[in-house]
Amino acid sequence: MVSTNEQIKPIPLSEAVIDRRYRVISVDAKGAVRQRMLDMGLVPGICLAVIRFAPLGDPIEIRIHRFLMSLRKEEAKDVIVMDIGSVPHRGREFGRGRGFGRMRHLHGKR
Amino acid sequence: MVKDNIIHIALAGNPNSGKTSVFNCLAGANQKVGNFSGVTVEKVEGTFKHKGYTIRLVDLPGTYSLSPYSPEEKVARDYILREKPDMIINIIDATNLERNLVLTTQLMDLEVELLVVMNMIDEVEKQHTIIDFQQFEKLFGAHVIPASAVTKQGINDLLDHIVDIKSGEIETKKYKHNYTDTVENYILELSDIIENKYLNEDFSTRWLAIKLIENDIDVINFLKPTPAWENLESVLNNVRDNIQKHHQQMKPDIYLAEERAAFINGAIKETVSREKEEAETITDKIDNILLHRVFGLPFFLLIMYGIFQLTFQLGEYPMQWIDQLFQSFTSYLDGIIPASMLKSILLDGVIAGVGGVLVFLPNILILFLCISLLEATGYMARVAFVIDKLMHRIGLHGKSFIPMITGFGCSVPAMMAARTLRNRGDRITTMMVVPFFSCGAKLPLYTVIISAFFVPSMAGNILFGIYLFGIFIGLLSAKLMKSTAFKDESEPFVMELPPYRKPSARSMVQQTWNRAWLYIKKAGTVILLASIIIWFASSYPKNAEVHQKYELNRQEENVDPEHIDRLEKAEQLSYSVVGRIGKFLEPISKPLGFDWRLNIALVNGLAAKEIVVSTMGTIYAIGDTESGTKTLAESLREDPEYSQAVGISFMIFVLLYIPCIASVAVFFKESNSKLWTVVFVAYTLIVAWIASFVVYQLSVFSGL
Repeated sequence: MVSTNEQIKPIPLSEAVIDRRYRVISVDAKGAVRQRMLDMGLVPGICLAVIRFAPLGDPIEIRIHRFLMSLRKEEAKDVIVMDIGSVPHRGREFGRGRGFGRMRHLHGKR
Repeated sequence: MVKDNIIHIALAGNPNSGKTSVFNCLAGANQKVGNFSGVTVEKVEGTFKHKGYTIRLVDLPGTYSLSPYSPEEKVARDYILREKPDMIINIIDATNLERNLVLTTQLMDLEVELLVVMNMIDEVEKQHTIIDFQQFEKLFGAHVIPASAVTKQGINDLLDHIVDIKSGEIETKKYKHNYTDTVENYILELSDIIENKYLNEDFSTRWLAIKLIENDIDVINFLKPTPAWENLESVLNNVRDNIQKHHQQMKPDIYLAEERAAFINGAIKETVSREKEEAETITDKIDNILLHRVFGLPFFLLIMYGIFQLTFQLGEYPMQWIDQLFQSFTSYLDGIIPASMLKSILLDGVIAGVGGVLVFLPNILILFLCISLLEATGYMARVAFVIDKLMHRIGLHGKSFIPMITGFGCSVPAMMAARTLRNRGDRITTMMVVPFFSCGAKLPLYTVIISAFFVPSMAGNILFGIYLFGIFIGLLSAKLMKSTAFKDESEPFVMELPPYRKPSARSMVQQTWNRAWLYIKKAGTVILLASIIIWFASSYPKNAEVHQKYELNRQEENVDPEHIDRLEKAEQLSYSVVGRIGKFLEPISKPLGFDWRLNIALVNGLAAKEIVVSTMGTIYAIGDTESGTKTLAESLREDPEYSQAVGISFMIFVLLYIPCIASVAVFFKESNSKLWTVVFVAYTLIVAWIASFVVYQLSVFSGL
C-alpha cells in the first residue's frame, strides 16, 4: 500500500508495477499509435490495471474496463499514469450462482 | 421496381466482435471465424432473401475506428464511406461495451442508417449482467437488437428489423448528439462552411467537421482543394485553439476521445447493471499458466511440438488404411484390365499421382484442426504477445507471427493475413518469409521421405526439425530484410488479447472440412490433370533403339509381355520429355544430390507442392518394373541413387524453394510490386539451393 504521506508522482506506464491500478493522466503518443490508443479506450481519466509482463519482459498486458490489451514499453512510455492503489485481492470468488432466476434481460416488444 | 426490394447492408464493428459469425448466420455462409483480431481481412458478400426482400450483405474487416490504422481497416472504412450501403449494422461485443461503443459513436457521427446488434448476449446473460435496451436505444438513438451468433437467438428478430426499417414500418430514430454543447456548436459552425455543394462526393458534413477538429490528415487533404478551405482553415484553427485553451492544453483529438468515453461511460452506467465481477476470470486463470513469466515460452514451444507430433503420429494410422485401400484397388484393377495404354495412364498416372496425394488427407486434417483450435480459443493473440520481444529484435512485430503460424496450414491465407500489419516493410517481409513456415502441402513429401530413409521412432523429431529449420531460415531472412531494405520502419505494438472462448464444435468441423474439401478438389482437378500430363511427358518420345531391343525380347518364348512392357517403359523414361528436362537440370542439382527424377518433381512442384509427391508417384510407378507392388517410400529406399543425405537435402529444398504459383500470385497482388515479386522468387530459390548444398555436402562429408 502506498502511504498517504508519500507524494504520488505521475509516471510513464512503462515503469508501472504488476497488480497495481493506475489512472491515465495523459496520452502523449503521436500519430497512428495515439489514434489507436484513443480508439481502444486508452484516454485520459480512465483507470487501468497492470496484469503482467510477457515472458521476455516486454510487452505489458493491461486491463482497461473489461478487456485485456497489450502494448510495448516503447509505446507505454508515452502514456502518463498515476498510481491509485492495488488490484483488489485476487483469487477470491464472488457471486457464484448468484442472480439465479433473475430476469435475464429487459428487452421487451416494441 | 426491383431495385426497391434490394437492401444493401454492411456489417461493421470492432475486430473480434463476431461480425463474420453473424454474417454466416444471416447469409448461411461458411466464412472463416476465429477468436483474434484480423480473421477477416477482405470484404465478403452474401445475398439472401427475407420476406420478399433481397438482402445484399457485406461482411467487412473489423476496425477500431473510422481512421484506418492498417490496410484491412482501410478496406472497412472505404467501404462504409464510399459504397454508401443503405444500412450499417454495427455488431458489438456486448461483453465489452466500453470499447466497442467507441466505434458506434463514430458511426453515429456519419449520420447513416444504423442498427446496433449486441452480439454474444448469451455470454452477457451468463455473467448475470442486465442491459436495459430501451434506455440504451433512447441514449444512442439507434435500434438495438440483442443477439448471439452462437445460440442463434435474436437472429430472426434482426432480419425482421432490417425489413421493417426498409419498408418504413419502424421509423428510424434521430441520433442523439453525443458531445457537449460547446463542441456541438463548433461542429455546426464548421459543417455550415463545408456545405456539400463544394464536394464531389457526398459525405456527411458533420463527420467531416469532427474529423477536421481531430486533425485527420485524409480529411484535410480532401477539403484543401475546395473553395471552402480558405474560410474553413481560419475557423478551424480558432476552434482547435479554443478547445486547447479551455481544457488544459489537451489536444483536440484527445479531448473528443475523452468526451466520447465520457458519453459511453455515462450511457453504460445508466443502462447496464453488472453483478460484482469475479476477481479472477477463467481467462485470468488460463493466462496465469500459459503466459507465465518462466513457463510461457516453453508452453508455446510445447504446444507447437505437440501439434507436429499429433499430425504425424495420429495421422499415421488412417494414412496406412488409405494407402492399403489404394494398393488393393491398384492390384484389383491390374488383374481385371487388360494391358493397354489406358491401363498405364490409370494405374501409373492417375492412381499413383492422385492417390499419392489423397493418402495424406488425414495428416492435413489434423494439422488444420489444430491451427483452427489455436485460432478459435484465443491463444493466437497470446502467441503474438509472448513472441513479440523476440520478433522485435528481428525488426518485426509479434503480430507477424500470426500469419506465420497460419502459414503452417497454407501460405495463401497467411500472406493475406499480413494485411493486419501497418507498414509496408513489415508486410512484405512477413509475406516473404511465410513460405519458409512449411505449409501443409509440403507435408506429404516429408512423410514419404522420412518413412523411406528414417526409422519410425525418429519420424516425429525429424519432421519437427524440418519445421524448426524453416522457422530459423524465415526469421534469419526477416532480420536480413529488416536490416537492409526496410531499415527504419517499425510497427508499434498495441493489440487486444481476447478472452478465451470454447470453440464451437460445429465451426471447427466446418472449417476443417472446408480445407479438406479444398484438398480433395485439388486432388481431383489440378493434380489429376498434372498426373495425366506427367504420365505422357514421362512416356514420350520413345527411343527407337531401346524399343527395338525390347521388340526382340518380346519375340522370345515364355515371356510375360506385360513385364517386358514395364521394363521398356522404365528404360524409356530417361528419353522422355520429363527425362530430358530432368537431365538438363542435373548439373545444377547434382551438388545437392538430386538426380533427374527428383528435378522433375521439383519443376512440377511449382504448380502446387502436392504435385512433388504425385509426380514422384507417377515417375516411380512407371519406372517400377513390377506393377503396383511397392509404395513410393519403398521405391525410394531401395533405389541405389538415394540415401539419407539425399532425403534430407531434398526435404530442405522443397521446404525453402519457390512456393506454389498461387502464393506467388497472392504475393504479387498483396505487395503490388513486380520488383518484390521477382526478388521473392529469386530469393527463395537461391536460399533453397544454398541450404540444400551445405546440408548435403556436410552430411556426405560426415558419412551419412
